[in-house]
Amino acid sequence: MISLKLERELEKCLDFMYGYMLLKAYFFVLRTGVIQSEYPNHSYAEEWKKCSVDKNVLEHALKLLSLNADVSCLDLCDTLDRASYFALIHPNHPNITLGFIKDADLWNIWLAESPFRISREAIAEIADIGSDKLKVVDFGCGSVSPVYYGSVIGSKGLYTGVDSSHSMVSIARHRVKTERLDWVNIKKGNVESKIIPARKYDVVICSSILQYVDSIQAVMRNAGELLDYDGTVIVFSEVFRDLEPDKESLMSLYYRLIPGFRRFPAVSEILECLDATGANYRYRTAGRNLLVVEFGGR
Amino acid sequence: MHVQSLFTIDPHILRSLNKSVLRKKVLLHLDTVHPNSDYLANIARAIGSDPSNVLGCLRGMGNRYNGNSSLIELGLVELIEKDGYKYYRITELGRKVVKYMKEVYGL
Repeated sequence: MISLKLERELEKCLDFMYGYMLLKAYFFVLRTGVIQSEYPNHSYAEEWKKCSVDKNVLEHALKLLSLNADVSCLDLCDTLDRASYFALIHPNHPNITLGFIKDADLWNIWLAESPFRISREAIAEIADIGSDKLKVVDFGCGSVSPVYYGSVIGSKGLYTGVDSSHSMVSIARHRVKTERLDWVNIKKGNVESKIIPARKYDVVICSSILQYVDSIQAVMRNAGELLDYDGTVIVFSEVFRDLEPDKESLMSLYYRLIPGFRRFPAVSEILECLDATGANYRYRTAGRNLLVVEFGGR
Repeated sequence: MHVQSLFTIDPHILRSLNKSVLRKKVLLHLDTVHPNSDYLANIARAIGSDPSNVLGCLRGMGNRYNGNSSLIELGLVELIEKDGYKYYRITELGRKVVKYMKEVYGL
């Protein structure tokens, strides 16, 4: 079970982040006049026109900003905000520094901070990762999670991280080597491609990955196969679009600046994909940002 | 302020270093000689390049080396003029960047 404190901390951090982005969006609209003006990147400007950011949001933003949250998430927020101005000029403007390949070293900094740090702690608690001989596979592991989970799991367990960015994988491998975590494997690969399991795992972590994939069903099928339909899948997303529809439109506007972003997942969509596997499962949400699925055979 | 925040405030620091092997070599060399400074010809000799390219890395040169991405412009290296000679020394920010890059890439 996840402690209520951690669950609340994660929600608070993501609410704080949303409040900050609301404020940034208000000034973005004011400075660029995007609602009335034309910009070279027509499609991005059109998306902003559809999003209602007016004076009414200010009160809500200030209320969210008054939450006593971890401010380290603001680094990523500021970069998203800065990139939004350049995105009006061109979708691939060189000053948009959010790529998982080109800017892996920047992501390495952001991933070490909240909300990702808190989500890792929450996931470790939910899956009881510190317990004996646990085998964990982490989809979209990035450069920070392998060292964190590797340390928590310990030498009797096994951790396999999969990420499609070779730059992130190389940073992660270097860090794992430095920390001498021999039980941690990191593979470069696409989590949507069919994975033929070499062994059975106990836990699959899908942390901030489903918004970057085309087929959630393929990811869930792979997760089920790796667990042999007996184990736990934990999904973390900054926004589940059915749980927080008010957040989705604005956060998507910023997140779409990250290359590879598709759309935020919905819990109902994930459950539909799980139904399609034909497996027995139970699910529960832990707060607004974590979904825990427990497979019980096929 | 958190030191690493500086990199996200100016992402060009890391991008410019990732883009040019020579810039990285120059910065690493100046880090090894710190707290001393070094002169152009000696930097070039130490890293196995020629002075014109090293000068391009340090302060930019025409179309080949973008001035905005030069080590001096990014605040990673400072120029010291003494008795009509020019010396280059790594700044504190430059040292922090080298430390981070060593940690991440194991240079």
